[in-house]
Amino acid sequence: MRLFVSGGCKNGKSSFAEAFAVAQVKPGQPLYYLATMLPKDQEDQERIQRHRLQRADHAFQTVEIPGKILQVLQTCDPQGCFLLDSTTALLENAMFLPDGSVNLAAGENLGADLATLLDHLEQITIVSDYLGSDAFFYDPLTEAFRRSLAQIDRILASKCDAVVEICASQPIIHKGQDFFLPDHLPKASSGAGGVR
Amino acid sequence: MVFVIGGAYQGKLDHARANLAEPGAKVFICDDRTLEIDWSCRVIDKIHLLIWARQQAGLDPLAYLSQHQSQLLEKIVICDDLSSGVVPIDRETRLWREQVGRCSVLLAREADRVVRIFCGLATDLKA
Repeated sequence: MRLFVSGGCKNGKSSFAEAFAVAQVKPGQPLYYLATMLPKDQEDQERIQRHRLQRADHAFQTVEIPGKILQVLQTCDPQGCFLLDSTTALLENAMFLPDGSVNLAAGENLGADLATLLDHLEQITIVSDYLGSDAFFYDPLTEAFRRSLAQIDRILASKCDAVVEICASQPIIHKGQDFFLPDHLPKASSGAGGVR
Repeated sequence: MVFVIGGAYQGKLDHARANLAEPGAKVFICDDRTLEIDWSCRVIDKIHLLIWARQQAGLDPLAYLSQHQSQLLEKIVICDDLSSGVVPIDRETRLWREQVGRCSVLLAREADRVVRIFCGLATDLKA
């Protein structure tokens, strides 16, 4: 089952997604955490450390994949259970390059790659960020980032079996209600947002 | 009226075209200078920008929508939900955000159906 999770900042998306992935994994099946963040400063390092501690109780294998996402099809067992957190970091890495240049085609390329990834994996949970309800006239670059992320989100929401929006740690199910019968719903705990 | 609300780039117009409007229905897309709606169109998109334009011109957007209630009843009206971000620091944007909220409440009250779009997926809030 392929699940797409989105929602506002610090609402418990990562915790929900982690709990869901852990609940889905079968005995003997590898459980992969696809780590997407390229740490830029001390704050990022601390966030990563916090997330590692949060996952310490679970049998996640962390796979560093800040770009070239389709490589996981070579390096991981496609029959495994995957958690990708997050598309936002992947888009940031692909769009804003280390040399200071901007790749405006990054969103389209990443959307296509993630669609291909979903075609090859049966069990994956993907976390994104909902940036659509702000009230600003942003600069063109910020607007391009928001537009690209929303376009990726729409591709993923359309391809995934279930789509959940998290609000104050509570799931709002937009698609795939049958996967969330009360007995199967993981209990989302409070925790920090998603990085690696 | 069908009132379609949701965040930016969520697929509101695509949904309206595919699922709410008749094939080939005319769409009026407001921009940041639109003061008047072309009432010959079935779908009115980006009404939050008309609200901005009217506010900037000193014309009350809420009163405008109230005055045209009977015409609006035949329409599919689409609005960005601007309500969940940081409170804008400049006064004009802050007032606009509040006006869009008030206008959305009015439109939702008059609508037979209210649909929220999230990542391209529709949820009926009022049906």
